[in-house]
Amino acid sequence: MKTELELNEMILVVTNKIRERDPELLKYMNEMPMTVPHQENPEISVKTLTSYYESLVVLFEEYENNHAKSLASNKV
Amino acid sequence: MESDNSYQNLLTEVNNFTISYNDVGEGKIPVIFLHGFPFDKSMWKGQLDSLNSSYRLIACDIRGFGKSTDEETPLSIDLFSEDLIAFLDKLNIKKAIVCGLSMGGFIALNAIKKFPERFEALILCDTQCIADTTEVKENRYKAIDQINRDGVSIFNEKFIKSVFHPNSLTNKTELVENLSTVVFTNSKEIIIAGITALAGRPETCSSLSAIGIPTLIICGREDSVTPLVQSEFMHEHIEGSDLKIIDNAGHVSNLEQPDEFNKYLRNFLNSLDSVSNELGNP
Repeated sequence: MKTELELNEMILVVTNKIRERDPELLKYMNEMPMTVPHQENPEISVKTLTSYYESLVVLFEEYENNHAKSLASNKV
Repeated sequence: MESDNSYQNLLTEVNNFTISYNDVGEGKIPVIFLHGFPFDKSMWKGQLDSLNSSYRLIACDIRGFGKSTDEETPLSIDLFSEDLIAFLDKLNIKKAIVCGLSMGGFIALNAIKKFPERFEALILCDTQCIADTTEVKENRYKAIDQINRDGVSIFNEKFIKSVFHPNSLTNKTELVENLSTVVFTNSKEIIIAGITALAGRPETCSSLSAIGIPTLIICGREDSVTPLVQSEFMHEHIEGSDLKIIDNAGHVSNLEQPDEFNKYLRNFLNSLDSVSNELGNP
């Protein structure tokens, strides 16, 4: 199982990619709140972070795939 | 001051420690908030709440404080400013607006002196550019002796009283209690390491004239820790800087008078946007 820090680092990598390559996605990211409870609970934090990371990856990959498809169809 | 439970505590490793931060909103140039000693990033919640719909705002816990724990490394303002640059690098931020209060201002001034190309604008709150005089240094070392002898409580209580305006101490008891909780969360070791860092900081007054970026200086009129005269000095020596004085505020003007503080901050950030748009920047 990933640690909180590892998950945060993974989230940062995807977030940086989005900011750099697809900044238009940022508005959707802001609609995906990551609510980590104030009370320290590593299990809940890891669960929440994992879910947030997975949502970000889906958002990013789907957008990139659709974008690539749309570019390809425009070429045809 | 409200508790810091509405933003995620993000974590990332920079400069051999794990930094905890909040990163909210979107904007062209992010604003990095640096807290004072011995507080944490939660002191900026009022600013993050107020401005996050218009700007990207990042508040971080400085090494050793809040959730950026590090009780091993000797702390210094030089190290904090290196941490800041490493943090910007990690977040892929080429240029930032930096907003520092008290110790956060020492870090901002130190970082701008060494890495001027990394900053777009500067906001100095209740801070100063002078190094400690011999007398102040001696007092700090006496405080460390006292903490080692009697524990940290007496120091913390005295410090909390010194940062607030008398009216805040009487009428804003919840705010005082919340800040007190933050201060008492620090270990004795971190309080001592922080005092040592403050005592050893180099002066930055001699480099004020080289600051060529828009600068806003905000100070509580009754700031007894870094008195108004220090802000006036910086204002005189930073060309084109703007000085805003907040009445009924002491050393933590952003907490004591958040509406007025946020108004000045927002106006300043809006003015940067206007300049950027006039220059046709993307």
